[in-house]
Amino acid sequence: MATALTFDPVTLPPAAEALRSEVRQFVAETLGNEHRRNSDFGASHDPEFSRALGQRGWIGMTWPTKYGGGGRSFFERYVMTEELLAAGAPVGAHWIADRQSGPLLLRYGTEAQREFFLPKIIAGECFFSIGMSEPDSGSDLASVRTTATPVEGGWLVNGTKLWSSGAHRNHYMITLVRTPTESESRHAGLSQLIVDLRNSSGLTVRPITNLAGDAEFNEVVFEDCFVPADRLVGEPGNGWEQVTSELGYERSGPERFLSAFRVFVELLREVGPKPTDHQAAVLGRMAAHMMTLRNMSISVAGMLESNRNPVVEAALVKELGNNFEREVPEIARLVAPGGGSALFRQTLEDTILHAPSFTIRGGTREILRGMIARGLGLR
Amino acid sequence: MNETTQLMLESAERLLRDACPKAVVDQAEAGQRPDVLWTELEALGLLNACVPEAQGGVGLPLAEGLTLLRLAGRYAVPAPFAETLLGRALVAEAGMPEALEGMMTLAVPAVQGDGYAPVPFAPWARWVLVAQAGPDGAVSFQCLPQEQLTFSEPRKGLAGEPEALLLGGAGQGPSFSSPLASSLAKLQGLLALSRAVMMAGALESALDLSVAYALERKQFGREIAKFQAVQQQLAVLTGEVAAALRAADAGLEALGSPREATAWAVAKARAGEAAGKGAEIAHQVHGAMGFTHEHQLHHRTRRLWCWRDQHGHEAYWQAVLGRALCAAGAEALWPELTGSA
Repeated sequence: MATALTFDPVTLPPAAEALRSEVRQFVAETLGNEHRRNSDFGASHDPEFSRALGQRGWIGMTWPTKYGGGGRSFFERYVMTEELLAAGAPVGAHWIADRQSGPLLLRYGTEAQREFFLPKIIAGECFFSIGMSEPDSGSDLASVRTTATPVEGGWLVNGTKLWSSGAHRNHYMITLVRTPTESESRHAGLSQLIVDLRNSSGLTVRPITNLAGDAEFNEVVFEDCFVPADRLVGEPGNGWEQVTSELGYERSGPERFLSAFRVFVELLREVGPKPTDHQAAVLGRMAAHMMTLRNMSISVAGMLESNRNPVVEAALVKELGNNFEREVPEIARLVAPGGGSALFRQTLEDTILHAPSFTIRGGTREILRGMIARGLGLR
Repeated sequence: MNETTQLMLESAERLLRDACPKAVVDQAEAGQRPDVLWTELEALGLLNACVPEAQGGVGLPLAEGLTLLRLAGRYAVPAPFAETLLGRALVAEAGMPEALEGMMTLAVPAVQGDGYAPVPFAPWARWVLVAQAGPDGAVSFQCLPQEQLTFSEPRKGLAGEPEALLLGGAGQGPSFSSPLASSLAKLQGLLALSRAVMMAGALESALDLSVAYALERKQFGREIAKFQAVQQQLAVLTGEVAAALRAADAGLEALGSPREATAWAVAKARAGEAAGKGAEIAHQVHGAMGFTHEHQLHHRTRRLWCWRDQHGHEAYWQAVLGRALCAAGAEALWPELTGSA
């Protein structure tokens, strides 16, 4: 049990701190006043901004240089991403490709796949969606029913994927499918295919409008959709292991506690230099939570850097971080003086409307708590 | 953490497992000074962890020595461990070898309001280190035998340990100052940090007890650990414990850095919040059994309730942090939080 509770101290290396000022300067020069700042990584899609980041070498920073990657540490990537999120920069377009699709290909992909996809991702010109959930498979991911049947030269895919963010405008989707297997185990016979979202027949992408009125996520329907054999990621049947490793990358980063950060900034602006004792305590409590979460999250980055697999630690960061970011707008609305400025209201309302997704995406609160309980030996 | 510290933590844990069982804590709370336990702590050199080697101590820096307090919290040590550990580090510099023996406690101006905070373990202490703040916020100390001072009738706090108000007797005699705690703010911050570290340890123990109980207690024909409602609560408790530990450790790591005051405020505020939430869940998981005097859970939870209020409760330290952020302004928030202003 002690393992899950041990978040060793990490001091960010000088190279990471040096990068911090570079990123700040870049953001200051690149983001105009008209940009609506939002720290939710999924809130924005700006290919131009992603390309500009790519030109800076800030996508695929940790990947090997032979594919055009930066060969830099997880800490440098950490600082780069937290600076962008805190500034409310539009990181949505390349986010998934940078965070998990690229690392998945590095770990399980073929050499040809790496050579084909990684340089495009790194340039900020190739965006990925996640194709995991289905109408009847949410938290119970092992129950997916989309099938891939082997045919001459590839696979025929049939089924429906759901909640695939950005599938209506991204280039590819790594899709979890069932492939033939002899085994009865529900974790067997799962495989991952890279589906070309723009040049496939038998593929229909239907945007689903969320409660905020945005069309961000999609239903993706496959009807005898052909996927070439060389788009299989890893071994057929190894999909469960691969998907689990992919999820590991997405649980402990700064995006798990910073989604509501701009609300915190605007609340501070509203309160001004002379807070009441209550306002000061509320703001200070948020700061104490955020600094501790960040500290824990950087510690997990240290574990990733030393090639450890901190499943429970990452789940703890996400559980605490998501609860915190859901709490921020709830607190802000009660302590802002007199309703607040137009900018404050806009920032607050944006976040209130998206907050329900914080504790669902990337693993629901209940699933994460179950993982932590397993780490405690309770199940 | 250096090797000496690691070894000392290991031997301290072995000692406390044997020498600080439930019976010793019960007896102390019934009013009996735990002299045997104290002698063993002394014999192992734990109380002199931060006294220089030249004066017979272990010579650990404060940041290392204070990690022992996590064990004091984990085992509910019913004695002025924190006060003696810190107090002796201060006194050692002043050249008072006689004060390096016996229980020591600290009389410190309260963080809120006028006057001194209640002095923990005052009736049991041989020495009282009385801190006095000058108008400039600088602090000077007098180390006096307990019987030279006047105290109120002792009372038992939430932890079941004796405390008393300092009524008089200080003010005469030589005083000294110490770079370890040069200002009142720094002294109060160090004491707040000590409570954060102790709370982190007590929370670890409350979690261990809760997990063990859930795996052993059966209802409806199975261990209550098998119920998702219980699992989810224990997962929440784990999050609070992990956060308290990280915040407290970060406070220790920051000692001596320009960020120390902020890190200490964060540590006390975050661990204090975890103490309340954590104690609640631990009790809920233990059901009626944990509400009995017979069970040892209350040795941890009553200390959590006591320590979260000592040397500034959550709202006090949160407001300290919040006022600093407001003074710096919205555009400085991120640099302030990341220490990269």
